[in-house]
Amino acid sequence: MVRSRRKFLLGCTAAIAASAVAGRGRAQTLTKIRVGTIPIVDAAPLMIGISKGFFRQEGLEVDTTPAPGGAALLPSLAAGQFNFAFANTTSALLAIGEGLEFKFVTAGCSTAAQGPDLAGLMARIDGGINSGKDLAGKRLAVNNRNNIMWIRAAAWIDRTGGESERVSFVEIPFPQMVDALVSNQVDAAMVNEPFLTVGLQNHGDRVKVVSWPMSGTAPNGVVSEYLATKDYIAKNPQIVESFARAFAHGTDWVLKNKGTAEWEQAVSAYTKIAPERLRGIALPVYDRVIEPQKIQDMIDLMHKYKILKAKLNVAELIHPTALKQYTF
Amino acid sequence: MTKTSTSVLERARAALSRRSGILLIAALLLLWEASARSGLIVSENWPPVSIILLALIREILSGELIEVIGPTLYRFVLGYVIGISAGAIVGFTFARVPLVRRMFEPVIELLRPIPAPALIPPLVLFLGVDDLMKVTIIAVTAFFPVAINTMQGASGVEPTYLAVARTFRTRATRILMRIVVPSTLPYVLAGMRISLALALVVTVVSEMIAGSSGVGYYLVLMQYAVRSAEMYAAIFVLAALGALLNAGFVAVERRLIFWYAPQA
Amino acid sequence: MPRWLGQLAPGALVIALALWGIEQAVHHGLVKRSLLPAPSDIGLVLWDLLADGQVTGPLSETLARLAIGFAIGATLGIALGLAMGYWPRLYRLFEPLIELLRPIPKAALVPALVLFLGVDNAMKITSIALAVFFPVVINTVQGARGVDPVLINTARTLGVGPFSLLRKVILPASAPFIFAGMRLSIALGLILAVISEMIAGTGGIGFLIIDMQRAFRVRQMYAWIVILAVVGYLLNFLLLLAEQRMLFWYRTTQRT
Repeated sequence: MVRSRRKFLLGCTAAIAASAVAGRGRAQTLTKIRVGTIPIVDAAPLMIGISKGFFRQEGLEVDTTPAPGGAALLPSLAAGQFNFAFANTTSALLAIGEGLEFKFVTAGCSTAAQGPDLAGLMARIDGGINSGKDLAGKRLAVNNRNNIMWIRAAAWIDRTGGESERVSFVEIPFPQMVDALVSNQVDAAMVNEPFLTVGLQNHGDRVKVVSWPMSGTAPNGVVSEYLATKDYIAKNPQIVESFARAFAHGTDWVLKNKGTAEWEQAVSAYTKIAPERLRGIALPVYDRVIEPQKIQDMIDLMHKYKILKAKLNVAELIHPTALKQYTF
Repeated sequence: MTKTSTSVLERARAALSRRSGILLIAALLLLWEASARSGLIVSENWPPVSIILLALIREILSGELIEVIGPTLYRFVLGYVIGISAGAIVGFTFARVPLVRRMFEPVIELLRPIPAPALIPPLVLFLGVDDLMKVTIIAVTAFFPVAINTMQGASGVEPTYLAVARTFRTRATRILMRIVVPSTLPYVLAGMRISLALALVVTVVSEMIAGSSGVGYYLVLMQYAVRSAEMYAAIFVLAALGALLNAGFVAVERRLIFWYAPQA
Repeated sequence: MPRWLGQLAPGALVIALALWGIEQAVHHGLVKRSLLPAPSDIGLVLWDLLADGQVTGPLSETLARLAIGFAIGATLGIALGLAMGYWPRLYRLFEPLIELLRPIPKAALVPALVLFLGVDNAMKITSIALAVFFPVVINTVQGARGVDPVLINTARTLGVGPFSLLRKVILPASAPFIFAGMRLSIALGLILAVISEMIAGTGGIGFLIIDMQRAFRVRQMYAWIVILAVVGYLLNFLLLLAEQRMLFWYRTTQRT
């Protein structure tokens, strides 16, 4: 009796092991992971990678949880609600500096080498704002303080003859920025796409793009990455590897198809932005790997603006999967 | 006024008497349409009402809006029922057992003014980003108005009535059912009515924090997709849903406290 | 033992126990310190904020907006509520609109609010006034319509005009409802003050909470949340005090 039962159990174990080996990519052996993301154009490699089945090929079933504001993503990652999360580099480094134990597991996007890129500094045509110097004592809208847009805007002000400490930063959500600019609520705004293009279409006679602070102060500078907790990476190295591989596959597809009708459809499917609105807007540069020096540059910038106090060692922040060139 | 006279005729008259309110709403919507069409207000965030209604029809026919409302309704009902039940029980207990009130009222009053968006880190830490977190926020919101109103009502029971009842040696359960509950009920129901709209509001707010379903998520997604007509369409649906729930509530309330609102 | 101590001691005990429990949980590693710091750590930050007076600027900014928004919202709520309770015609005119607007989250109205009112005080105070208005108007209507019709009819037969009827009969009789509505509103108004500062911010408690949250400075964030909670508590307490005074006054004047 006992013997036959043990035999049965052994048989079961063997069968499960066999199916796990043979069925890589099959539905029953998929590992479920949860990724926190923001439904924007920047997230294309992940979202398209999922819809094209690249993650399934690597044995992953991805459940994405969009956090429209992005504010909940990193705390949720730290709390273990997500296995991976998307974040802008500045906020991610800020979190790490404050003791949250994250590492970069894949690259995200960068800005272009020069403008137009994914966000521009807009002002009223008759407002007399042409450089950082003109912004002294004026109001500049940013979506959040202490993030990538804010720090690049501050850097641009200081580089073009102004003093960022003398500018008052007003937090306004992206969709409201052009309204606030047109109605004299603010004197300038760091507006991202697609709101920049739409704003120029509706109010081209009143507002203009003054400059492109993102690429202007840091050509090809980092914008975003994907992160996981150190704890999760240590316990699930294989899943992290599979995630990075599938993600790289998605990036690969995006780089090859960017701008095509199929791309427009795929991005529109998850952002809900009308395909024709995607035509002609400036896109981020999708990175295959993280360049550690660019992260270091951001750390230096954050030290300069005193929002980061901790000394961070770049090498320790980047998991090897973010440096690997995957080929397909 | 006899019971039989509240017939079809009465109801028709009641429906007609709402005409002025509906006309006011129609006038405001026309003003909106005109302000957007005339070029008086040019903004991506101010589409004409007619465009919104078209978007509304399109999104209903495509099934998109129905899909969006389902999860919202589910979370709302669950959170609301939990919240108002707890609110009535706690409010009543507080009014009747002063020690319990003194123990827990400070904690409740301290937590009450803190909005959900301020509490995202501890919320996701303890409750996650899914339905548990959302339903909890909704229940907590629905709880306060009912608890406060119930407390107010239950401690405001006319002492003379109680004294008279005691003089006649009325049983405790009878005092409760005949004196305490009838004089508390209007307060409890007023609280529940306030909670109804608040809970619906917070359901939507909680869906804005994280997750990929519900009206809250849809609102933010559409706003960031530069599709404000769809966003307003969802707001219209929300307004209609809230008004409908409220109307249903008032109908029930009238039956429950028929002696209370003489002009209704 | 003085009476006020007996009133406060049980509540203080419960709060102290809760704080002690969290402190222990954090020290034993049951919760992540980076997401929920120990109460003693928050206490230290709080002490710093209070000691060097950093708290006064943001606090007065938020409270000033709340005071104005509350005054506007509550006044309009009481006035319209009484009028709607007294004149059925007005009730029918405004009731559908109020019921349609009430369930719309203010956060969903941000695009329209920013478009028409900007990002500064006009928008913030309007948001607060709106939040305060609805519970007050609903409770007032409920109270005004519940006034004993015999009382109203008697007053009318005695030749009392509508305005003195509203002031001398209906307002006092609805006062408990109005106060319950105002107590609900004060917390809602504070919540909206904070949320509006989070939406478009340059200052105030709400801005600081969201700013600290996004900067992952959780101890500072919790310190400001504690300040917010205490402010809410005190406001409610003050309103209760006012209510007791006023209702007492109403009862005694009614009897004489």
